[in-house]
Amino acid sequence: MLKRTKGEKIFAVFNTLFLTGMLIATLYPCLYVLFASISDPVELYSGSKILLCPRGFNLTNYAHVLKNSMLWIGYRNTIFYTVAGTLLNVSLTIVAAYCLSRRGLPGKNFILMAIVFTMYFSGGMIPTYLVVKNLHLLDKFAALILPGAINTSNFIIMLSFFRGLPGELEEAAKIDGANNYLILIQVMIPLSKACIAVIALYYAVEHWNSYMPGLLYINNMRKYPLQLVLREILLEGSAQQNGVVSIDDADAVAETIKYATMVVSTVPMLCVYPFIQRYFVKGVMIGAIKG
Amino acid sequence: MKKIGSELSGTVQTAMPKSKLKLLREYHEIYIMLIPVVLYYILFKYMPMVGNVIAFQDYSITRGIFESEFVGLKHFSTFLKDVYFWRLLRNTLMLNLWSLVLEFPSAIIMALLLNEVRCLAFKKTVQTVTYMPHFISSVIIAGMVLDFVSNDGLINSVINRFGLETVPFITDPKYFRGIYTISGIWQSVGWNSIIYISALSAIDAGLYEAAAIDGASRWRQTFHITLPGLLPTIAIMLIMRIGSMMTTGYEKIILLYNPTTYETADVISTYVYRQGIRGAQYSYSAAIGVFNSVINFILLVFANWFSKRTNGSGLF
Amino acid sequence: MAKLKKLACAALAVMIVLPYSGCGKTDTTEEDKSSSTEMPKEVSVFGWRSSSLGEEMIDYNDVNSFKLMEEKTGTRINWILPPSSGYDEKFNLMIASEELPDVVIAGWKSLGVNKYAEDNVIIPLDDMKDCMPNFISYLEKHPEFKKDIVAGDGKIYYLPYIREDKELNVYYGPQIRQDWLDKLNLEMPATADELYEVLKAFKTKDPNGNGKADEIPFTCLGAANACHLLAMFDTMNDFYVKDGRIKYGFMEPEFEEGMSYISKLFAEGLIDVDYVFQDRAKMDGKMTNNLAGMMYSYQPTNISNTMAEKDPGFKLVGMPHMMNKSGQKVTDLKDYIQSIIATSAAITSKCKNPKGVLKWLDSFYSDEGIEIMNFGKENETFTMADGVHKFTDEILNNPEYSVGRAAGRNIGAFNSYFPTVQKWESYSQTLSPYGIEAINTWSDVDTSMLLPEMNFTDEEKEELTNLLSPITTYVSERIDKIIMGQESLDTFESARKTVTDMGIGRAMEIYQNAYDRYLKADSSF
Repeated sequence: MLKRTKGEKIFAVFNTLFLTGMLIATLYPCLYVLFASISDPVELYSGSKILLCPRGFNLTNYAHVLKNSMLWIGYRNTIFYTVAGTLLNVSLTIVAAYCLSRRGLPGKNFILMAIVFTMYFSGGMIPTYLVVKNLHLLDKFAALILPGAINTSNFIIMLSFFRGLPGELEEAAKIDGANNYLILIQVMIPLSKACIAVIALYYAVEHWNSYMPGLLYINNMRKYPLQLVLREILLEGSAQQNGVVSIDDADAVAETIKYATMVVSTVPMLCVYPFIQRYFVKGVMIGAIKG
Repeated sequence: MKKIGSELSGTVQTAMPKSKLKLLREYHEIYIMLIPVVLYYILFKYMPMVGNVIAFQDYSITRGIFESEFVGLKHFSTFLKDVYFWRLLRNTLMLNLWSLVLEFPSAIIMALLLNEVRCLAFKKTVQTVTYMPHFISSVIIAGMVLDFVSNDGLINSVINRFGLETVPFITDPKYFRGIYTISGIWQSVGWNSIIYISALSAIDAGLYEAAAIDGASRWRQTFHITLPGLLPTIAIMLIMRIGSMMTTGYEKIILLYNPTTYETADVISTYVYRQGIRGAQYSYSAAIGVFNSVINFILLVFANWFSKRTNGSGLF
Repeated sequence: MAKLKKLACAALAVMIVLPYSGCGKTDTTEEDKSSSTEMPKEVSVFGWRSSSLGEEMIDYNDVNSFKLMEEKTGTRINWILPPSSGYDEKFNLMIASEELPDVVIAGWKSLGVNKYAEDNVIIPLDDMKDCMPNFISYLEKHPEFKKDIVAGDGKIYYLPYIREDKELNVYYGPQIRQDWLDKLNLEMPATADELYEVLKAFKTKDPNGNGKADEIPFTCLGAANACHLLAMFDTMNDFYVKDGRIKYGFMEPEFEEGMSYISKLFAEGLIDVDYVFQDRAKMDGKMTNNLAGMMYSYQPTNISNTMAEKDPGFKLVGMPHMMNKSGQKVTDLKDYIQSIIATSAAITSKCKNPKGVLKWLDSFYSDEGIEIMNFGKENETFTMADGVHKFTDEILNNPEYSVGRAAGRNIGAFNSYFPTVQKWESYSQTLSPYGIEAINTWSDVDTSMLLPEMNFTDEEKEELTNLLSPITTYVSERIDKIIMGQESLDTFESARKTVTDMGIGRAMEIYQNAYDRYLKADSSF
């Protein structure tokens, strides 16, 4: 490691300060949610608006959320949707991006334009529902996996990555007699781990947070995804349901339950990220060209 | 580009353009692989696209698409003639412009700064924490933002400490764009930087080593290796961003605005949302959706063309 | 031989096509449909999941009232209950995909039955009068409800959930800290001037006793809430009616007067500075944390129960509505006159046995049905004492559940919105004394200014939406800016002109037409 110049050292100091500031700034909302989720609903609103520690330590919020039996069913379902869904998403996206990054492919631009076009002009809730219904997918697990199988912007990200890979590798493989399938599997994919990690993360988060498709296509409560269950918990006792005002809100859910559901919903996702991080380590490409 | 392409096509390349049949044979595996992809887009994207026709109808859910009355451009005309149309359009574009100028680069800068950090533990920690607010619902983030900028909130107490007057952040239209953008950065800079961090990790480390041996300082390395290496990613993300200049999430704005700030805060999507409370106006909101999409698409094509002109890379 | 084959093919083709020939949206008059008047063994009902249903309950069939009704009628309900957060989407999808059950429970009154009736999604009930004797005799005893049930074409399309006693509609109103009034030796304010004095005292005389002038005399949820105070000036921020003429608040001189009052309150710090972005939780928080003095909200059962342990001195009571200049108590709360604002049940065109289903729905309006839906099972959930129904401890003192929850698990009429009649006698038992007192206080009010829910045609609705979107945007901007003092009252004149140019006249005309039609509406029975 070469010695750093004075300028670089000063920069490093400011950089560290700045990033620490960002750290604190972005940590605060998370701590707020965490503390609020274990606070007493009434005391939460006393005192100043900045929350630095839980007020009125109280675990009933979690008790309320966790003892809901539907919650565990929701977890189970969403884990399945996320894993199965992401696998499908990533495979299809890789295939699509690989194919459309082949330079000489006839009709490539046409297909590409047709795909990007769909990002802008989509049919809307009712037409898509009718298509799903006519394909007999209603109330089936596939309804939550197929309609969103490829996210066009993720596809574009993957596409631009593949395009950026140097063509020599592909040539070398072709000379060795590999066909397109092998090139994809043995050459392109291993090189793209960082990018695949990113789109896998995007897809997984999308599945995890998905609410609308579950609402529209699933009627069987046993197949509800997590977000649907959580929203039901949040709306319990809500005075305003569907525009028809209920006359009784005596059992309105405590505000702090909202925070507990947030924690319950996001903690699993947060645990996943560190596993993805290792793909973002520098130097993935070392040796690929030389070798 | 073309030259390189022809060089790399391999030894079989001849000077003559290939016949269609030969091309098909060469790429037949690709086409086969594309079948499920094409099928997907046709089934789940193009078939429902027919639904856009309701923008040109007086759609009634009881009659369905095929029996609802066709009214042509009636809804578009109603929308364009609305008293507030220009204000809504202006606000929509301005909010997106602020976001483009401030939020977009912030993710890149974040990634670059993180890249300079030597201590791996610190780097990983910052990376992991900064992306968390993305998962916290907008309702809570907006609530926090409002608490901070309210008249008796943290920011104003600091301002008062310096002897200055309380600033009415929430009820003065001129602050809305700033607050909206900053809260957007707060919530998403970490998450948005992930794609750039990933792209950075794909830059050949060997290049850095070579440059260091040649005596280049960190700054020069950044300019000559890092930025060019990121450029394709930045270009693509920028093109897509420009292709959504008409899109604003109404949910977040609704949480942050109020009638005193409608002047700068009321955008197309929030106005339509308020209308929608009066009754399911499928056709009208579909028409507005088409309107937004057309503009977005035009912007996308333009951005793509511009990118190809300036740095040779683009979407298509 | 070939000819015979052709003939056979033709015959086969006809036989295949024939069963489908009668299909289509307008198909309702088949023989087997109208003949049976037996109660059906099963009925499919689309409704929504009430929040007070127990978590483990899939649908309402386990609720005591419904169990009893099933025994009585022999009809099992197959519920289709979408998650409450997505009811609207599911409803629209159901209609668009034509997957209709027998009965659909929805807010038909506010939704408007017009296009659903025209396009034959739901059927009129007028021809089946003999199948609903209970409902008809109920209407005869309570003719005031007739107007609210009739659709634009004079027919009846749904059986509503009726809140019989007017107390049931009065669940929202002004409330104030009685203990603060007592502490400062103040009388309950009854006029605008008295209110001003009281709020001022709250601000300056430190009723919460902590030595800081941190009291928020009047807190509210946005301008819409603050504008409740306009009632004292005989106006409101909406359409209303005076002597049969429709008025729109913003255009009236009283409105300017009222706004001047409210902005004065704000300028002197008597209104919550954060009111523009307030939410319910924060507002209640200010009340329970001893900061707020007065607010408009739901009856105080919830808050009073919470505070009973924390601070026995805390007394949040419902205030009598304040008086206008002529000494009348007035309000702008439209829900007070909406006995039928809740949901109702319509029979769809896909129902195979409409007469039977109607008969079954009608049973919920019989005296026995009403009793079961409101009180449950004798000796299990209620006992009779001197002709008065009283809930048992199963509901009032259940060790596992709060009163609201216990009621939700047992009593059909409690939040289930299934078409029946709700009685105050039932509901009041779930409230705290403060709540009941508040409701009784609020019931004493003049409601002549309030507009009922009216039937607009689809064209009228569309026109209104296009007119009112810019108008309400403009008006709400002006109101907030005036309250906060950003704009002075001098701007009213030009503001009114702008609203006129935006077409308020036409909007008022539409309302007037609808109102006149409402007054003349009468059902065929």
